[in-house]
Amino acid sequence: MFIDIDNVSKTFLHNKTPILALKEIDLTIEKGEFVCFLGPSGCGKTTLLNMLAGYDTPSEGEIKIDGEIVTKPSIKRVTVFQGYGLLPWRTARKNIELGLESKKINKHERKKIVDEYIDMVGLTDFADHFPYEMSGGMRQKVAIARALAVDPEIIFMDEPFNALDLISRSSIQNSVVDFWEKKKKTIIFVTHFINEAIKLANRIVIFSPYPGIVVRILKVPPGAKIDDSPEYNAIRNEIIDVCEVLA
Amino acid sequence: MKKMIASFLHKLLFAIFAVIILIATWHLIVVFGGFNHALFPPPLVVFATLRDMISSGEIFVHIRISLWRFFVGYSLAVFVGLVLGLIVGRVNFLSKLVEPLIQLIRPVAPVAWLPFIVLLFGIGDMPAIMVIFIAAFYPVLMSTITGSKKVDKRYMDVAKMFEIKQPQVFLKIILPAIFPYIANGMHMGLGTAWVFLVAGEMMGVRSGLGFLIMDSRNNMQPEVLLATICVIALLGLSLDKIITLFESRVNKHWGIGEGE
Ligand SMILES: Nc1ncnc2c1ncn2[C@@H]1O[C@H](COP(=O)(O)OP(=O)(O)O)[C@@H](O)[C@H]1O
Ligand SMILES: [Mg+2]
Repeated sequence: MFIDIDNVSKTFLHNKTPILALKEIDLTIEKGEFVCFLGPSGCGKTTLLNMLAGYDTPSEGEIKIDGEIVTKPSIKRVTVFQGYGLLPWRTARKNIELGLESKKINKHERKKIVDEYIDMVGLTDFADHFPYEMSGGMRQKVAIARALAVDPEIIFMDEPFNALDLISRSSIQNSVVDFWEKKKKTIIFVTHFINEAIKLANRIVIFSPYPGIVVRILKVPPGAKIDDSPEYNAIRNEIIDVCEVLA
Repeated sequence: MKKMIASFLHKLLFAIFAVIILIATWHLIVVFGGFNHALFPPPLVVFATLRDMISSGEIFVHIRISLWRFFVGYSLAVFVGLVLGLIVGRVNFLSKLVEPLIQLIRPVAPVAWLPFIVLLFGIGDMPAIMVIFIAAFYPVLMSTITGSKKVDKRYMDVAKMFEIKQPQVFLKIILPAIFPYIANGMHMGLGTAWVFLVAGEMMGVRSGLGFLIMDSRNNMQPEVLLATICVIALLGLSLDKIITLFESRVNKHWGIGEGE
C-alpha cells in the first residue's frame, strides 16, 4: 500500500478545552488512486489533508507514505490550498515557475512546462497577469497548474473549485480527470459536493463530524461517470442515504 | 483618470494658494512688524538672493554635496536596516534581544551623537553621513521587523511545499512579501533623514546646505539663510514626492493581496 493512515486521531485545543477533530481513522490508499474525502464542513477533511501533506502531525497513530512516516511537506506531494496560496507579486507564469525553480530545471525547460500547464487550464492569454488582475476562478486554475507542473507523486486538493462558476468548474474538473488518467498520479481531493465526488473519484471516503470519523468508503464504478446512468443514481442515492442517517 | 487629474489640480490649486498666503503673511509681518530688513528680509529680497545664488551656480555646489551625503547615508541606512530587520524579525530570540535595545537607544536624537562622531572620526563628510544614517535607520529597521513577523503563513507553507531553501526563501518569499512595509519604512526614513541633514552639516563640514545656513548666520546674511531654507523645503518636498510615487507603484503590485 502507498498511503497508510493507521489509527489516526487529532485533538485541537480550543480555549484549553480539547476538541477531537478526527477519531481513529484507518484508511489505505494505493498508488494512482483518485480518492475524494466527502463530508459536511467541520468533519476534519482539511485536518486530515494537512497531516497527509505534512503541515501537521497526528495526536495519535501514524501516517506513512511509501513506507515512511510523514514529518514535513515535500515537493513530491503538493497541495492546492483552500484559497489558492499564490504569491501576489508574481505573475501567473512566475507563480507556476516557482516549484520548477526549486527543482533546478533550466530556463528553457521551465518555459516549456509552464506553457503546457497554463494551456491545460486555459489561461494562455493571462500568463503575464498578476493574481490581483484575475478572477477567483482564474487564480484557482493557476494554483492547480502550479501544483501539477512540478510532476508530483501525490496531489492534495482542498475544495479547490469552490470559487468557480458552474461552467468553468465543469471544464476544470474534466482537465483534472484527463490529467489523472494520462499521468496516473495519486490524487486526494476534498469536497462537500456529492456530484463532484462521483465525477472525479474512483473511491469516495465519507466523513461525519463531531468527532470526525470515516462512516463509509465507496468504490465508484466506471458506469457512474455518466450523468443520470443507473450506476450514477445508485451511488448518489447510497451517499444521500448515508448522509441522512448522519443528520 | 479624468477624476484623478481633476482632484490633483484641485489639490494643487489649494497648495499654491496656501503658499501665496504664506508669502503674503511673511511680507506683511516684515513691513508692518517694524523689523529691520537687514535682519528679517522680505520675500522679494530673499527671492532675488536665491536667483543670484542660482545664476552664480553657488547653490548647486552645496545642493550636490548635500544630496550626495544624503544619498550615501540614506542608502546605507536602508541596506543595513533591511538586512538587520529581516534577520531580527525572523529569528525569535534575536527580536527579544534587540527590541529592548532599540527602545533604549532610539529616543536619543540623531544629532546628539554628532559631537561623539566628530570626536571619533574627525571632521569631514562622515559626521553628516552618520547622522543621516541614524535618522533613516530606525524607521527602516522597525517596519522591516514588523513586516517580517507578519509574513502570511500560507506563503511559508508554499515555500515548504516546494522545498525552497535559504537564501531563496528570504529572496523569493519573505522579502517580496514584506516589500510594502519596507517601502513605508523607506518613506518615513527619508523624511526623518532630510530633517536631520541640515543638523548633520552644521558641524565639521565647510559645504552643504546645513553649512550654508550656519555660514550665513555667521556672516549676518539672513537673506542667504532664508533662501537656503526655501531650497531645503523644495528639495525635501521633491524627494518625498519621488518616494511616494515609488511606494504607490510597490503597493499596486504588492498591497493588493489575494482579496480574501
Ligand atoms: N487549528 C485549529 N485549532 C483548533 N481547532 C481546529 C483547528 N483546525 C481545525 N479545528 C477544528 O477541527 C474540526 C475539523 O476542522 P476541519 O478539518 O477544518 O474540517 P473540514 O475541512 O472538514 O471543514 C472543526 O471542528 C474545527 O473547528
Ligand atoms: Mg476544510
